[in-house]
Amino acid sequence: MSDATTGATTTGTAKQHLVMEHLVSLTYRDALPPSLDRFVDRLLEGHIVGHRCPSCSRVYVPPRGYCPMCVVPTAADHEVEVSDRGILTGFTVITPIAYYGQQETEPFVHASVRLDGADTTLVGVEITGVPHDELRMGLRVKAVWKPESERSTEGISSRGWGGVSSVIDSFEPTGEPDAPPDEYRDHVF
Amino acid sequence: MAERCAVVGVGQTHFTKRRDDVSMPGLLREAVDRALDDAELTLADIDAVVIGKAPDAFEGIVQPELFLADALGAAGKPLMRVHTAGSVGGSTVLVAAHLVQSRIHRRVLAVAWEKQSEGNAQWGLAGGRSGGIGAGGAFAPWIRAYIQRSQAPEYIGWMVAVKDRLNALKNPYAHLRIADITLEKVKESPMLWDPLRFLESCPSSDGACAVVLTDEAGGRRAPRPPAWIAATAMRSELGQFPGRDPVRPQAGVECSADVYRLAGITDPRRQIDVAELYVPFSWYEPMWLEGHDIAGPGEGWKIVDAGETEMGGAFPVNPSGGVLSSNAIGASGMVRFAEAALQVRGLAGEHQVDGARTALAQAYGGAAQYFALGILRSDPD
Ligand SMILES: [Zn+2]
Repeated sequence: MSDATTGATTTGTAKQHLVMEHLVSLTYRDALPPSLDRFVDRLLEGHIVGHRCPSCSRVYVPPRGYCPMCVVPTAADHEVEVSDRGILTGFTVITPIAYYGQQETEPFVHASVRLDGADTTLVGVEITGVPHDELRMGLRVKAVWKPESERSTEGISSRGWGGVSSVIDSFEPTGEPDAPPDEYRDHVF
Repeated sequence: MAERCAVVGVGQTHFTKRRDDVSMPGLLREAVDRALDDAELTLADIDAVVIGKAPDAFEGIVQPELFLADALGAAGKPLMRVHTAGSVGGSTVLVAAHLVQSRIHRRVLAVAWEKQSEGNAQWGLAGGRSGGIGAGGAFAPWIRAYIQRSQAPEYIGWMVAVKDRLNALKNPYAHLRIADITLEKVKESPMLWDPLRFLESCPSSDGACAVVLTDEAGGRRAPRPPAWIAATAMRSELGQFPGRDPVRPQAGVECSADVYRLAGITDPRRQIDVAELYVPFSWYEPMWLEGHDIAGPGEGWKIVDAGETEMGGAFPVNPSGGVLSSNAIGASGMVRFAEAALQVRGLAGEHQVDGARTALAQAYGGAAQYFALGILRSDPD
């Protein structure tokens, strides 16, 4: 949690004697499962890997260690590498609300990208290199990698979806023609 | 055969930005006392209590059920908490109903609430980190996909936003009271989560709701007309998997199919007189009309456009003003059931739909992945 004295909170306007500010900070150590640990190792090296389900052939990125559709485990021998290019399948442009601890000040993109070769999407990625009013589902995009020296594991979590922003800054248009709806329709999330 | 279950008491607090005059236990007790008064029962008559609220991070109080037991009159009685994210208020009613239908208890008190002014829902949703997208940020991409697929005109969202706020003016408990709301005002309100505008979004409220449910004997001797629970259904699905359609989630489709089948409903649009649907963002009205097979795919917005979901329309939706007008998150799902009950009891006051005898109550939550549906009727059969 950031500086508790900044008071950028929506709860601080009541009469003093009625409200006790009670700020809690919790630090978690998040143990990554082997499949995600391996994903992070490869990601830091500039490669994106997933697991291909041995039963249905769906490719999960990041790998989960199982296929939730078939309920079968997947492991290292199911690893496949996917492209760092893909399709913008869904997005919104968020105007930040000044809640307590908010550090965003400018509108930002919250998008889902389906990488070529993957059946899942990376969620919550930023899209750059295109004006917000030209964003569209089906837009072909590619990863903008951070320089190797600036990559970190910050934000990688076994409890989130994707969370690659400490390694990949954003995605930007490739300039290729847009993908047709049947390539993104089932991957809005 | 399952025991028949009736709603014999409904209580709500007024929904408002902040209730500094009461504590969380006091807020709940206000709704509980009103529900018991409606049922002409006391806490001593209650066999068990079922409660629901949003995740604890929203108010920063972990397992509040522990310190609320006294205020809820639950000391020495079974107390159960339900967790299904935003749909929790609906699921809480259904769990309470199941306790009666399965003859485990005869009279159950269901309570749901949120005192959002004591925490910060945006911060809670973000896991306490900056750059949180909020609920609107999560749903906006799917709303965009709906608009693109259905080719709905942009003003449909504005229409729902206006309709629900005008309905709210007739509901004394509603939070937002925007008497001068117009399509133009909605259109010109700030864009928060493109394509969702400020006035197309729900408020953040303090408030509580309580419902008293009884067995058939209790329903028959209730002092005021009861609402009979004709059918209930709950479904959930994974938040994200390949091929998942978050715009028209399969769990929602199957949940409504189940509740219609159990209630003997074959043509929901004709056989249901009024619906209270969980619509926290305007576009969810046409999306749930389609997501629960009240309208065919791509047809939901046309029903809105034709004015059918207005108070005097053929299929009134959210005469209470809905979640768009009052959103104490945990309570919101229960208010759908409470308002549906008031409608079929004929006790909805100024926002009563004339002759309502069959009502649909719906709540959804999480990544549009948890569903709680109920059909309530004026008659037990
Ligand atoms: Zn599989």
